[in-house]
Amino acid sequence: MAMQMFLVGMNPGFSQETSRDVQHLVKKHGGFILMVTRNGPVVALDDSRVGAIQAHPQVRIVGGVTLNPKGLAAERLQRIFTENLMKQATLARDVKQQEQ
Amino acid sequence: MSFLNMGQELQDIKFGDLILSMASAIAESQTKLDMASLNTLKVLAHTKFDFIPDITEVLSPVPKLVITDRGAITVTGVDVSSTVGDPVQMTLLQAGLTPTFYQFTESDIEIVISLKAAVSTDVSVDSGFEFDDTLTTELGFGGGIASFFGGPSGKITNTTHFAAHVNVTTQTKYSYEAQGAATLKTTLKPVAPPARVMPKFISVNAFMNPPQVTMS
Repeated sequence: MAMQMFLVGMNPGFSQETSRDVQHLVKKHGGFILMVTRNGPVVALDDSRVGAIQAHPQVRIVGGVTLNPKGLAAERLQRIFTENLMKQATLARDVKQQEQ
Repeated sequence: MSFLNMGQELQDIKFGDLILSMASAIAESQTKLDMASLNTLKVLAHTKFDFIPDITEVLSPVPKLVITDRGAITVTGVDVSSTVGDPVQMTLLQAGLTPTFYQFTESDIEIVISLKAAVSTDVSVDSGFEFDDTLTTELGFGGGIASFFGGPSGKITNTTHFAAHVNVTTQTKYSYEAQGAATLKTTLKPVAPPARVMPKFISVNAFMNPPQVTMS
């Protein structure tokens, strides 16, 4: 099913450092951070890599999520996701170009 | 293993058990997937964030007087004032994130069984023939007193030996080979959340008179 949207739920009382650590792990596996919430990040990730994120000791759950267009803030969430995705995709492209 | 038993061998394959075990595995996986989606639903319902519902921007005309060589000219200026609305606590579920539910839409079982039975018989025949022939001739000539009784005497002896042997060896080999491979294919698709597990959203719009109630 390839790239999907997931909510990474962290264990209670996780630190900012742990959150960053998980975000780095998601990026390392080719994923993107769509939004960071109090309970963990919402990410776009290849579903074959879910196990690697789930294996992090501070991760409680990695669950697939879908954007419901009828939600109260669905449009804004979509905009936030798009902006964050675009920034990371641009950064990834620049890094790749520099490496070449 | 004779050829007749191959039919029995095929009959002994428990297709029913195979289908049952696959169906059980799918049902078990489906339950786990549903549980995972429900857990995600709980996390979404408990993840709150501050949602700023509106930012009001007021553009006010501010005429400005610009002094030039030919005199003073009035130009239109704009003053922008922004008012940020009070943040409202909202859950990710309210905002529009719902858990993805998955469903096994179709499953295939493919079983390939190869049975091979072979019988080979080797017969070897070894035969031999031996022949031996001996001819013996004896001649006697009488003398002295013996000459009064007769002439010369003789004896011819012919001896023949005949032997024959036949060795027959029969060797029969039976070989039986059975190979099996099973492939299970299932298709997992994301589906809309079941209506029963999703909470109902009831919105009351008090701006209208009477207030309008919508459910989704």
